[in-house]
Amino acid sequence: MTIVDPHASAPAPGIPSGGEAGIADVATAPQPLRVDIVKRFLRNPLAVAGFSFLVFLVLVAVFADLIAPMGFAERTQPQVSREGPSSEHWFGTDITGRDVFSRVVYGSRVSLKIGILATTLALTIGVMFGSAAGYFGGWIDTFMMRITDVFLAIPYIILAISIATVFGRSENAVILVLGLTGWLPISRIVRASFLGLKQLEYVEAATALGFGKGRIMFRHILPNALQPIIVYGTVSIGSAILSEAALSFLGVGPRSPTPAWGLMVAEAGAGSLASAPHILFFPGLAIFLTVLAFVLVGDGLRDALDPKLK
Amino acid sequence: MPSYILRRLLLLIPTVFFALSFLFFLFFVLPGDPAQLIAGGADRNPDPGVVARAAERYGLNDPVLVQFGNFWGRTLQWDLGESFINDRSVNDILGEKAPRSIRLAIWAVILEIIIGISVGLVSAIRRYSLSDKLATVGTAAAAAIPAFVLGFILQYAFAVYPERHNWPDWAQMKTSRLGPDAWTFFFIPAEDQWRYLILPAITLAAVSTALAARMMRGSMLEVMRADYMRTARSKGLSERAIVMRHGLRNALIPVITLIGIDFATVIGSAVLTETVFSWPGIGSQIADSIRSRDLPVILGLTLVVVITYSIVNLLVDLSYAWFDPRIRLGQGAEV
Amino acid sequence: MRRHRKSSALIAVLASFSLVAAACGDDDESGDTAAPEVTTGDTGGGTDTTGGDTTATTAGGDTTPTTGGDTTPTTGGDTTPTTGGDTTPTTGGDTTPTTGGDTTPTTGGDTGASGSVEEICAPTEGEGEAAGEPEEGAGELIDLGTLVGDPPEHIDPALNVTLDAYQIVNAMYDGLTEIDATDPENPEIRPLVAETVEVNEDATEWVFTIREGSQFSDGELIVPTTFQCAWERASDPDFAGDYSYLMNFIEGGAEKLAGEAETISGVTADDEAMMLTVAMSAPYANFDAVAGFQLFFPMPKSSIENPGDYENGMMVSNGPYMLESARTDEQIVLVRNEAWQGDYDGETWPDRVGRIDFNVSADPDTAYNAFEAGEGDTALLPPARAVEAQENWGTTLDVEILGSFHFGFNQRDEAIGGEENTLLRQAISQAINRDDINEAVYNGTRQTSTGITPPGIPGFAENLCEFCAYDPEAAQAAFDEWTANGGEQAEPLRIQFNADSGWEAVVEIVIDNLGAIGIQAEADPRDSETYFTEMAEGDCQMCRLGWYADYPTYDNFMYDLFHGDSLDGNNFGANLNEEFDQLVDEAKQSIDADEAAVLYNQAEAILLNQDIGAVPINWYLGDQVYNDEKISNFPMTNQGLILYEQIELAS
Repeated sequence: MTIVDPHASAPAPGIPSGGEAGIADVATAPQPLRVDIVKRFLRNPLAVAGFSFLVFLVLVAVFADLIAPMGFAERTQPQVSREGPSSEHWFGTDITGRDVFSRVVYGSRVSLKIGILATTLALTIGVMFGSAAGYFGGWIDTFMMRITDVFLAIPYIILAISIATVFGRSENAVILVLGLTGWLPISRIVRASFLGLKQLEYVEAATALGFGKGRIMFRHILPNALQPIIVYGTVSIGSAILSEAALSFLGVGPRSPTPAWGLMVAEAGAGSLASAPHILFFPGLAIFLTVLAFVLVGDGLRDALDPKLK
Repeated sequence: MPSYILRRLLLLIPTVFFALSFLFFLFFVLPGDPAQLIAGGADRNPDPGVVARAAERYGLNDPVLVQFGNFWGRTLQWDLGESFINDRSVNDILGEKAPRSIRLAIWAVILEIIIGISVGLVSAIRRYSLSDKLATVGTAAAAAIPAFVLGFILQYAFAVYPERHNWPDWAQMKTSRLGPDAWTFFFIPAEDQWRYLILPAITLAAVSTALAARMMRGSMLEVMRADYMRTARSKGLSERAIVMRHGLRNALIPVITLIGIDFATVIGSAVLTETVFSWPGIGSQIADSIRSRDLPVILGLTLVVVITYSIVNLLVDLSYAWFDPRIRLGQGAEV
Repeated sequence: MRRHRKSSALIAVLASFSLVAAACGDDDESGDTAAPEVTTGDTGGGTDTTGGDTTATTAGGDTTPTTGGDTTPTTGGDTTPTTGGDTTPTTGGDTTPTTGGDTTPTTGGDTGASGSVEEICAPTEGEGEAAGEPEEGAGELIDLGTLVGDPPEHIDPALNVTLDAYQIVNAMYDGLTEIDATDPENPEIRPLVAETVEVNEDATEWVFTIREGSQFSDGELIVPTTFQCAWERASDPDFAGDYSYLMNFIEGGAEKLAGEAETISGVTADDEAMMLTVAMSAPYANFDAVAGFQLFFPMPKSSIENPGDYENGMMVSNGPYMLESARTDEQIVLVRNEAWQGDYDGETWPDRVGRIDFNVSADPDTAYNAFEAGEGDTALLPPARAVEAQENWGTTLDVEILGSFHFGFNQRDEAIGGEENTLLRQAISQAINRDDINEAVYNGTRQTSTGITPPGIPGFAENLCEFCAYDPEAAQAAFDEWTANGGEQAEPLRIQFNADSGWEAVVEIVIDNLGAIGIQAEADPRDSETYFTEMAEGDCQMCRLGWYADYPTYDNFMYDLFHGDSLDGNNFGANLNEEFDQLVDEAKQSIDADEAAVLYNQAEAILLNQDIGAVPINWYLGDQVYNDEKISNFPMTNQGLILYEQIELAS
C-alpha cells in the first residue's frame, strides 16, 4: 500500500490503540517521564487490578511447591476421583483422582513459562527483523516484507499445528511454535515505527555524526519505538496462554500429565460441564483471569505510555 | 487504480508460491521420511515393507525436487491430488466443504462488524460511562476465553439446557453438524438452518468482535480529537452529525484493516469452532488432515485459504481509498 | 471385533489395486479352476439354444445366453427378466456378453449354476430394479452412538474390522447363520439365509442349504454360488481385509490368500440343490458360528468388478436395511429393504424403523451433548456420565458384553517382549489397580477382569489369571528380581492408545501405578484413524486393545487375538508360543465342548501366567444410551450389536 501522506492515519497492523499518528508525536515530544507513566498507570483501576493479579500469579508460581498440597501428577491414595470442591480438595479432584487445586497452582508455572518465553522469542525475532527492514528500507525492506507476507498468508493456526506436528508434543515445542508464529505482527509494528522515526531530525543528526548503524538502530531509534512493542508484548503473553489451550484442544499441545491449564481444560472436555464442572471450571478460570489481566495491563500501559490519550 | 490492483494480484503469485512451498518442505523435508509419516509418523516405528509401499505409491522415492516439481505441475493445472487416507480427490473435498466454511465465515464477519463496531462506537462516545467500562471489561473477557470453551458453554446453555427443560423448539439451538444444509442466496439460512448456524457463528466471531470493538473505540477516540472534528464542532453541528458524518468514516479505516488482517484469526478459530460443533467445513478437515498427515489435503486446502486470505487483504486495501480520500493507491513512494 | 476404529491409507491403496475384477471378470481362464458341479437341469423350461460355437458354452443350466447371432436365447415359461446366480452373460472363449441383435442374455429358471467361477461371478448388466422404491417406514432414528470419532474406513463386509461399522454392515446384510443370544448363558446358533446347517461327524465338512427365494434388495437371487463368489472376493490377496485370515478355516483358503490358488478348493456350490458344501482345512466344530460373520456374508455380483470401490457407491444388500445413498464422511443413511424376506422364521418386523441416520460425531462428548440437546436418539455413553444417564435415559448398561479390554505386549520388542522380560511383564500386570480404573474412569460400570475371555463364553473359567490382581508388593518383588537379573529400562516404556477416545485417564492411572514400583512409562497417544494399523505393523510396545466377540466362542478370543495364524491380523501383541497354538488348534477340533473348554483354559493360562502376553483390565457392559421417551425397545446383543430391525418406537 502506498500512502501519500506518511502522517496520515495508516495504521500499523496490530497496534491495539489504532493508528500510528502517535509515532511522530513520540519522537518529537519529549519522552514522558517515568514517574508520569507510573502515575498514569496507577490512575487506571482496571490496570492496577490486572497488575496485582499478575504479581499474585508470579508469587504462586514461585512458591508453588509450598502452596500446593499435592504433586501435579500425584493421585489421591486411596483414590478419590471426580469429587467436587471440599475442604480437603479446594478445587475438587479430576478423573484420575489428582488434586485440581495443586494442578492449577503448578499450572501457573507452565502457563507463565509458555507465555513469557514464547513472547520473548517472538519479540527477539520480530524486533530484529522489523528494525532491519524499517531502517534499511529500499529493496531490503521490500524483500523482508515479502517474507512476512508469505508467512502471514498461511493462517497462524495451520502453521502452528503443522510445526507442532513436526516437533512432537511438549511444553518446549509449544513455546517454539508460538514464538515462530508470533514474530510476524511484531516485525510489522517495529518496521512501521522505524520508517517514521528514521526520517526525524535527531536520527539524521546521529547519522551525520557518523554513529554506526547498529548504534543508531538500537540506541537511538528503538527506545522511541518501544511503546507499541511493550503494549503488544504484554497482550501477547496472554494470547500465548490462550493458544496453548487451542493447541491442546487440537491434540498438539503439551502432554499429560503436564499441568498446563489449557491441557487441563481440553482434557476435561464438554462432558464435564454437566457432570463434574469443577474439572473444567478452575483451570478455565485461571486462563481467563490471567489473559484478562494481561489485556488490562496492556491497556493501562498503552494509555500510560501515550499521554495524548489522556 | 487498475494497474495497482494488477500489481497486487501479481504479487500474490510469489506469496502463494512460497507459502505453499514452505509447507511442502516443512512436511517433506524436516521430519525425515514422508513415507514413514504416511505409514506411521514421527517417533513411530512402522513396518519397513509398509513404508516402502507407501513410498512407491506416492512417488516418494523420487528426489525431493522432482516431487516438488510434480506437485506444482499438478497444482497449476488445478489438480490438487488425492488424499493419502481415503484416496478422495482434494478438488472434490474442497468443492464440498468450502461453501460451508464460507457461509460460517460470512456470518462471523457480519456479527463482528455489526456488534464490534457499534459497541466500540458507543464506548468511545460515552467515554468513562458505565457502558464504556462494561464494554472494556466485556471485550477483554470475550477475548480471554478459549474459543472451544466458549463453544462448550454455548452448547450447554442454549442447546442442552433448553432441551432438558422442554423449551419450545425455536428456542433450542443445535450443538452439532450442518443441519438441513438449506440456504437461500447462498448464505441466508432457510428452514431451521439458523438453529444450526447461530452457535458456531457466535463462537467464531467472539474473539474478532472483541478486538474490533476495542480497535473501534481507540480509533474513534483519536479521530474525535482531530482538528477537523474541532472545526466541525465550532461550526455548531450537532454532536450526532459530527460523529456520523466525519468521525465514523475516518475511525473505520483502522478497523477495516483489522478485520482484513483478522481474517486469518477467523480461519484459525474456524479450525477450533468447526471441530467443536462438528461443522463439516474446511477448518475441521484441515485439523483432521494435519493430524493424520494427509499432505495433499493440507496443501490443497491451504492453497485455497492462502489465496482467499490474500484477496481479502487486497479488498481491504482498496476499501481505504473509499473511506479516506487522502489515501491514493498506486502512486508515490512506498511507505 | 475391535471396539474402536482402525484404518489405513495403505489398505485403501491396496484395495484400489484389486485384481478381483480380473479374476472374476470375463476373462476366460476356467481351465485351472475347480468348476462347481455341473448340472443340466433347466427348470425354466427353456432349451439351450446356442449358436455356432456351442463348444465354448458352459454346460448345463440356463446360463447359456447364446452366442449365435440369430437365435433367440430361449425363454421358457419363466418370464422373470433376470435372475440370480445364473445370468452369466458370457460363454466360453467368447467374451462379448451377447452377440447379434439379440441383447437379452438370459432368462429361464433360477437354478443350476455352472461354468467357471469367473463366469459365474461376473457381474451382469441389466439387473437391479426389482425392489422398487422403499416405502415410507415407521419413523426415523438418528443414531449418534455408532460412528463416533471418524467416519468408518470400511463398510464392506469383507474389509471392515470395527464394531462401529459392523453395526451398519449387520443391519444391511444377513449371513448364513445368526447367533440368538436371547439367553446369554446359552447362545444358540440358528440358520438364517441357510435353511439347514449340517456337519459331518469329525467336523471337517459343513453343508449349508440355502433358502429358496432369498434375494438382494435389487432382486438378485441368493444361491450357493453367491456365497462362493463372495468368499472368493473376500480372500483375493489383493483385496482381502484384516479378517481374511478366517478363510484359513476352509480347505484351500490359505492357498487362495497366499495367491497360490485361483479359488478356494474347499467350497462347492450346487445351485440346483441349493447346497453349499464347505470342507474345513482342519476339523472345526464352531464353523457354523463363524459362517454367520461378516466376512462370509453374501455379496451381490455388482460388488465383484471393482471391489475396492464398492463400499463407496450404492451397495446392494440382503438384510433388513439398505443404503439410501452412498456414504459420505458425515453420515450413512439406511432405509428399510422392502425386499427383505425376514428372519429365518419369517419375522420381518413390519413396524421396524423406516430410516436410520448414522451421524458421524467428532468425539463421545460432542455426540452426547448433541444427544442431550435432542439432536439424536442414541449416543455412546461417556463413562463419566453413567450415573446421571441411568437416571434420565435408557441405557444398555444391563447388557454384559462378550468383550475384553486389555493391554497387549509386543513379544518382538526387545524392551518388553521375550522370556527375559517375563518378570517385568508380570510386575506390570500386578502393579495395575484395575478397581481404581473401573471406579475413576468407568464409574464402576465395568467388571474387573480375571482373564481375557469373559463370562458368558462357553467354557469360561473364573480367575484364570494369577497375576491380574492388584498386588504392589508382589509387583515390586518381581520388578526387583528382573532388575537383579540384569534387566534395565533403557528408556521409558511407551504405552500406546488411540487418542481422544477416553483412554488418556486409564493410561495415566497405569503410568502412575507403574511409577509407584519404579517402572518408567510414558503415554504414546496415536491418531484413532490409524491406530490399529500402526499396532498391526509392529508399533505396539504395550498397547491398549479392546475386543468384542464376533461370535460367542472361546476360539474367537484365543485364536483371533493370540494365535500365530493371526499375526498379520488381530494378533498385535505378537504372542508367539507353539504350545499355546497347539492347544488352541486341538481345542478347535474337539467336538466335545467340555474337553475343548479345558484345552482353551489351559491355553489361556499359558498366555496369562506363563508368557504374560496380555494384561486384562476389564470386561465391558453395554455403553449405548437412548432416548426412552422415543424408543420403547432397544435390543442389544451381548456382542454389542444393536438389532436395528427390532427397535420399537414409542407411538
